[in-house]
Amino acid sequence: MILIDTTPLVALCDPRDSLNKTALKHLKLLTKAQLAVCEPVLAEVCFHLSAPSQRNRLQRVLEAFHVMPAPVVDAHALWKEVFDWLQKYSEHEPDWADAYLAVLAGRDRRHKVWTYDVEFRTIWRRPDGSAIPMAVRV
Amino acid sequence: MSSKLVNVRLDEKRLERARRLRVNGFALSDLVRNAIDRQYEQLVQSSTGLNVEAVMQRIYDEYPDPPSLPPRDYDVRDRRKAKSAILRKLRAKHR
Repeated sequence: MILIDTTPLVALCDPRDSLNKTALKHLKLLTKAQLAVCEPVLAEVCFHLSAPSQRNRLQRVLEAFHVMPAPVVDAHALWKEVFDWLQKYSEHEPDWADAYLAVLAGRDRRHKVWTYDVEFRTIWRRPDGSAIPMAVRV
Repeated sequence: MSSKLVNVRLDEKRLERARRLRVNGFALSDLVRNAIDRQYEQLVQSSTGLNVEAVMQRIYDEYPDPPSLPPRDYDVRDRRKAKSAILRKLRAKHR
């Protein structure tokens, strides 16, 4: 399963985004896999895509590519893991969505993250300290 | 492997069909599992067969930005600028 982060989703839904063409190229490579998105990422995306046209495109992208909600087992335990992760990386001021993705990637080691954020490659790790598998190279 | 119980409602016609299938040795649980697997495979195959560029172009054409919409003035990858933009929106909302 590929967990989509905010940056590629915004880039896909905004043809004027500087990463739009890159995101389209990556989407072509990733449609064979099951794509998933979590609520914190969707909330961030909606901040960056605030116009109705942009949000309509977001909805259509999720539908057209069968993007499913990221599966969450035991949400209460997940919150605790996310808070613990935020605490661990507090000096780098991560966001809730960063932590959420890192924890989800740690819960199921088959998950990969599709992101253009450099921190996922350089700083953030899964809760056990291992590297977060990336869905694409940038 | 852990599994969960799923209840499915059936109308009279399907109930009768289910009874006849069961009488003829078909386990309903197997039928449901097979149907889910088959439908899922179709879903994945239809995704892989998508012409991504054509689909995306259709979406862009269907929902164009109004000419008055200014381009975003920050890079979403820039953590600080993205955060500031979100804060600006939140503040504007509460004014």
